[in-house]
Amino acid sequence: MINVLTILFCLTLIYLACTTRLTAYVLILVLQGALVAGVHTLAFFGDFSWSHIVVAAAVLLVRTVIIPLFIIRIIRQLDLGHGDRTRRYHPGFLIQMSAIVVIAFLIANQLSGLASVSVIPLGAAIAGMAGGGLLIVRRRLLLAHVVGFLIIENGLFLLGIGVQAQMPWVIELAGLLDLFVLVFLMGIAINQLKSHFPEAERVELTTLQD
Amino acid sequence: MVRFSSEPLSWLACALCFAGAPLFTGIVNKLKARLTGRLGPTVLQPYYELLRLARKETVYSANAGIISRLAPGLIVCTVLFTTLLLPLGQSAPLSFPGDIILFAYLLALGRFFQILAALDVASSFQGMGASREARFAVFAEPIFFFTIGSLAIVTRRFSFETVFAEISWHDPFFVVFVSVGLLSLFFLMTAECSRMPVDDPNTHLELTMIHEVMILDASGFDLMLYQYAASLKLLLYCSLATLLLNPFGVFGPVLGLLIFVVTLFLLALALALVETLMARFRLLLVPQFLLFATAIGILNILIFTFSH
Amino acid sequence: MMTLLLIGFILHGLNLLLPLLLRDNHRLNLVCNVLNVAASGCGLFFSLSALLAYQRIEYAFELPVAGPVLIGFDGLSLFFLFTFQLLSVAGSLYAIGYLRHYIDCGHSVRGHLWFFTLLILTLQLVVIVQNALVFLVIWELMALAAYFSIVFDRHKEEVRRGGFWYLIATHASTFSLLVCFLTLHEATGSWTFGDFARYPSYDPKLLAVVLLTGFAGFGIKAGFVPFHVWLPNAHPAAPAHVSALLSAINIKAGIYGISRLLLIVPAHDPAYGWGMLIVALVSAVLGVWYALAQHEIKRLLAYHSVENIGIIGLGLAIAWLGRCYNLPELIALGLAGALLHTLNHAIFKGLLFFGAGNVYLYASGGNIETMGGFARIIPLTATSFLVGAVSICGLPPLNGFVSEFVIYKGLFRASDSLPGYAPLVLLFAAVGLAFMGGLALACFTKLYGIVFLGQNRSGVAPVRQHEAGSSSAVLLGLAGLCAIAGVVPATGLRLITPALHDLPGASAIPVDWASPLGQLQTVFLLFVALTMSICGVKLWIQNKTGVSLRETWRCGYQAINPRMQYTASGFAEELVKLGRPVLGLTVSWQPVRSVLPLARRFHSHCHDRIEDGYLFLNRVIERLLASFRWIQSGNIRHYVLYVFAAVAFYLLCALVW
Repeated sequence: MINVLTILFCLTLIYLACTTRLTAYVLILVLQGALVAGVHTLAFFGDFSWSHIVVAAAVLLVRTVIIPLFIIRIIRQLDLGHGDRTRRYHPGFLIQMSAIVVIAFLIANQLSGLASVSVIPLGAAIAGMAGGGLLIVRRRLLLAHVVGFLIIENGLFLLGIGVQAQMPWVIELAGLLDLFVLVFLMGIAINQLKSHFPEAERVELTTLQD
Repeated sequence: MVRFSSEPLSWLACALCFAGAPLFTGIVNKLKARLTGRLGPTVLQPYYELLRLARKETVYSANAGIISRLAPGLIVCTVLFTTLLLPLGQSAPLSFPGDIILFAYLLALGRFFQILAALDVASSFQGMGASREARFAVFAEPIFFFTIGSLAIVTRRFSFETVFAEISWHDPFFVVFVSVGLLSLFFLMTAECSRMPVDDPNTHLELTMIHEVMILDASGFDLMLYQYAASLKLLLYCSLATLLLNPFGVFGPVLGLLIFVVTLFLLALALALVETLMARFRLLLVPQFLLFATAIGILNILIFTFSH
Repeated sequence: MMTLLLIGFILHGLNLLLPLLLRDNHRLNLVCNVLNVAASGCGLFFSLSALLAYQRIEYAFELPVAGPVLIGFDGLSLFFLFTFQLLSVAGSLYAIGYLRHYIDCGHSVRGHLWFFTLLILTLQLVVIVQNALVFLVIWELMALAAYFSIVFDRHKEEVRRGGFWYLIATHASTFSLLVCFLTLHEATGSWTFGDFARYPSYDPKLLAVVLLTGFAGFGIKAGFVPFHVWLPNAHPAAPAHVSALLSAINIKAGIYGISRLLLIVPAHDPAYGWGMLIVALVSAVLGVWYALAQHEIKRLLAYHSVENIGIIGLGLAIAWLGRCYNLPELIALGLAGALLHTLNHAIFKGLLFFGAGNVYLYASGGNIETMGGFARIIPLTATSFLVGAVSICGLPPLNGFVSEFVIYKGLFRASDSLPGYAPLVLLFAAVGLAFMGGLALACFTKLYGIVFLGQNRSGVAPVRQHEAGSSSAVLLGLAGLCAIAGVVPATGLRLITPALHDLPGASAIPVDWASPLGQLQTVFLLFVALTMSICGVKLWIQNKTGVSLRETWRCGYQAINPRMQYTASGFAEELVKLGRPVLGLTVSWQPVRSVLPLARRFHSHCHDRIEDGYLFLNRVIERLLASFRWIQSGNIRHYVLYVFAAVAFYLLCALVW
């Protein structure tokens, strides 16, 4: 069953590569948060110890509810519109994402020979990290970069589960702290920018030149 | 060996498909009407339309040559032959190792002559439809090979009959494989049979469609053959998707038939929902849509390779 | 039986004397080509009967340097001999009608026919010689004969340029082959192919050199990417009968070489097989993508040859992998697919080039955008071209489908039996084949639709023109062969079984390795019968309901002109733009500015990025070498100084050593 959820994770990655709409990004984050929480719960199904329940609930709360709400608030506040409207729907991004998924599974296959881990969660985790990185590299919208970073964090969490770390809440806590710092900073940065450049409708990194 | 099936059930099912293709289209139209709050035409309406067209005079363009005369019969023949390859029932009326390839290439033959018949008319409308059809066919072929071809590699069989017979519901990976394959095939069906969100079967405006504009100049018996071929192709692809579940193998002939019919109905409902709820994609977006189906096909085969 | 072949060669030899004797061009054309047909026909009878009643024959005679020279007729040689002779018959017959137009315009064909005959003769000789040195000599003769046949129209700049590309490519190929055969001679001490094959232990590094230079040399001739750049330059430059022979059989000489190499060298490392698979796949996809972007018929067909060579290469790669992993069924399927596709491609590519030649005779120039409606002007050509187009896309029930089917079967059988990541790679290869098939369909519907269907875009009236009897006979004959080889696949199979018998481990090949292929004819015959009956029923019903002809409905627009039809560039635009990183697409256009604009120009051209790469390399080398130009100062006293310096240098060397 874990494999089914991780396969759905990969499907969300491929969907990410097809779309440029901001609501789609939010939906993907919500789905990924739920999937990752589900994988965590199923991985530690036997042991109902406090740490696992707390971590699962925290993941579910933060990644599925709080962060997407925060992002929706940012979108509404800054009036970012529907998304990065590209002029041509070039399938380049999708082809690159598919290549990344293939390579991630190949790497996972090689690695699973070395340490006895199951291939598919490992492959999905590596694909998640690389896919988030690809999103950051390919898109110019600042919000897309934030989403990409969050997807990298999701992938990292899956990697932690995949290698069956004994204390996942350490990784998760660190990840959550990282996230909080990031989102907080981004929120502050965007708000301050908005107050300095009120005419900027959409924030793109290329316009931030001093 | 090239085998003609000796089982009467498969021939009967095939004949039912030939006869029932317009009924399937009628069901889809009726569901679409009901979903939009209309009463809609009766489910037998496509039959009445085909009979009406058969009685009408055929008008050919002055520019059209032998291709326009030859194409309708050839296209119907390709779709008829392709239906013979599907194992409806425990066996297919016609099967041999490698009939997967013949399936894809027979339909490609039909497409070749459809495009030529469109270019024969010397009008830019049909040229537009022909160009789009050729373009989307390039993206649609890999989806078929990734879905059915990966199934063939995974089951180590090379004929439709034997490939589908190997599908079992015990292995959870097979279940995931089949579900993702079903999604891929659904996308493929919308592209090949010219349904939403790739093409709009309702309008006849040259800006919105692909298949409809290629047959814009056809009339009479020719148009009847084209419409029949289109409806049979729709039933063909939906049956292919349904056979991925292997109802006959897992549940036996009678219960399998029931499940087959119910799944076909559910597919018709899904198609009607998609046609009602979605607008047609911008044509620039269609290659990305089809590449998405290919990408999930690639994911499918990756999962299966690395889980065993 | 051998006497037939000898008669054939003697007739070819006589033909070489004819242009020196006869003066009148028309009579020379007729007699020379009829003799060519007769000679190749005799040879064809010989090879066909030898293939059907197969017995391995060898003749040997001695030559001073080369040692024992064997003329061997094993299955592979006989098969290629058959293919080459078949197309030589077709080419010579076609040339009768085609050259007549040139003679009427005042060209002299004496020199051209001499080289044409030499080309046909050397092509036949090159596949039966089993001695490496003599092979190289005949290979070089063949290359030169082909060059002079190509530059028939030598007053045109682009013809000379195309011929020059061919010359460079073929000499690079000969150089590579020289290295390859010299290495083999060093290792084994003899020049005979048989001795190469029987040598027990080769050093792997030596084999690497042999295989790489051999693949490079024969690959340049065959036209694999990235060596294919001479093909699209040379084929449009040559007259139609020569381009047909170039594409149909000259590049197959490269394929013969690669197959021979695969049989000589022991199969030790599957990496070569995978490498060849990737090169073949890239050739197939790039070839057809470039073809899609072309707007000149012969250039399009030339790029398409690159694609088909890729498919043949795929079959050869599968055969090599079968040899490495010791799977006889795989060897059989791979080699059978490659050989069948060689024969089929020769037939339908020859057919397409002959048809293109006919179109060129009645059109002004080769640009597709000015054509249209040729189905009414030259109907026989149009019908045979349609058969050729359907075959080349690999559509059933014609012969292209049969060979592609065998290759697919080989790919799937290989994915069953090979270990590791092989099934994944082979699935991608199969999908690549399907993708390329879709592109080929787009390409040929574009070509046939724009050239033959619709209305003529430059105003040529749809009046039926006279087609030369000989060319119609050739076209219809080749179309008939396509149909027969497709609907009755067993004919093709009988021709390749002798080649498979000579493979090492041939006895282990299961008897039914091609089982469904022989029986596909029932399916195809049923298909044809059903189509004809449906068309018959349609005609009967349409008789009753009535048929009428009207003008095409164009939504009531009044100012219709034929240029409003879809153009070839428009048809292929989106697919070409998809491949923009690889295809160098340049578009230049004057934008429409005012409300009532005057005429505007739009020009789009796709140039080969790989060719640009070669030209860039050329410029770099030229610049490098130009820095040494100071040595040739033109001053004779400097040259005298050089001579004295060289003598002093040699004296010094002689003293020191």
